[in-house]
Amino acid sequence: MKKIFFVLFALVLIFTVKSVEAVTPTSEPTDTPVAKKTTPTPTAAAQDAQIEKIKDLVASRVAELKLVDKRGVLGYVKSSTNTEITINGNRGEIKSDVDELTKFESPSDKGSFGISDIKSGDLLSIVGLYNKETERILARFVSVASNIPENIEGVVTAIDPKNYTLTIATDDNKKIVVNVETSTKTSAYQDGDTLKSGFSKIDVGERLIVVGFTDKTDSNQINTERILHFPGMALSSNLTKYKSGK
Amino acid sequence: MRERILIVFIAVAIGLVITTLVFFLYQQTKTIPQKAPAGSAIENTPGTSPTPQVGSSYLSVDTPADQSLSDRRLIQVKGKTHPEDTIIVSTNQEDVAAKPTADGSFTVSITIDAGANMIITRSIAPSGEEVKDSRVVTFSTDDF
Repeated sequence: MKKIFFVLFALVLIFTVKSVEAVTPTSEPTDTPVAKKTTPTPTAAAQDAQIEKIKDLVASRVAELKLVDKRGVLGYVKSSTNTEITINGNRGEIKSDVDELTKFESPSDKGSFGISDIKSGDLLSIVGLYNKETERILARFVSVASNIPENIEGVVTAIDPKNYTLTIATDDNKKIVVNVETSTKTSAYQDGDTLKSGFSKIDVGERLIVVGFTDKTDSNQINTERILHFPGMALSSNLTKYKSGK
Repeated sequence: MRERILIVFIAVAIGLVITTLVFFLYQQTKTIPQKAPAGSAIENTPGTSPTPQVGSSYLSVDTPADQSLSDRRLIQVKGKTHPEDTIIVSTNQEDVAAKPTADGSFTVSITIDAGANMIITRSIAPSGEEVKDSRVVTFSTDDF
């Protein structure tokens, strides 16, 4: 009977020890494992604590990297305070936080440009760290985006060869005067090829894309940098009414 | 009395064995659920109409992702549209026209400007109807 008791006791002991082993983390390989295991000195304990601290730091940094993403956004300023800029981008409102590390830049105001110079309606480019959880961007670089041209598509409704201007109608029935300058690069897309073209080759009723900047004195005029026109290409249903011009 | 103690002891031993087995089995079959990253809906946002429909224009731009940063001036715009459409990609600097392949996919190499760029991709159908996709790509070599 005693033998049976002894065997059962041994079995229970073995299984208990195995279960504990399964949940105990594997020990770290060290140069002097025996010394460490037998008499843990205060230095070893401090080292362990330091290792744990580093592990926590790495873990939190990994989590942070997954949560944060480098992004560049563009939009018109809706509002701005000393710590926050809200812009309207092409996919809606974007809120960005500003701190002491944020750098500000404006091509027209080099050196002294800061957050106090930002006005409602300014076109800003913000590069920074986007937090996917808060959906806010921590701005690192804020610059006035004066290099973004207007990109307008429409149909030619009138040509003024005397003043080198075109009048175009857009999809939303807006009429815009296009100033063609000597520096304007004109191209034509026809039969799968993009060819060099000129002002005289543009016809009324033709579809075209105009890239340029709004005239400072007249917001209804565009000073053109590039024109790409499409001889023979069909117009969209919204623009077919302008096929014959006015 | 001895028999009772023995039965209790055996029961405890069997219980421990079963618990250990269940624990090991659970540990081996446990799967960690893959949590979808927050904000993934706005990451690499595909084109405006991802579902191709017969008879109507569609455009799906896969790269570059909207609001992405690029450390190269020459980028590739990749996507899919109807094979018979014409693709026009415009940046601050240039316009590039292209024809998609037989399966409708297209790749256009285009130059971007320093700073922010608006990449406008148009897919124009032979009927004249078009689909447009606009996204922002910023050229930046800054480390932050």
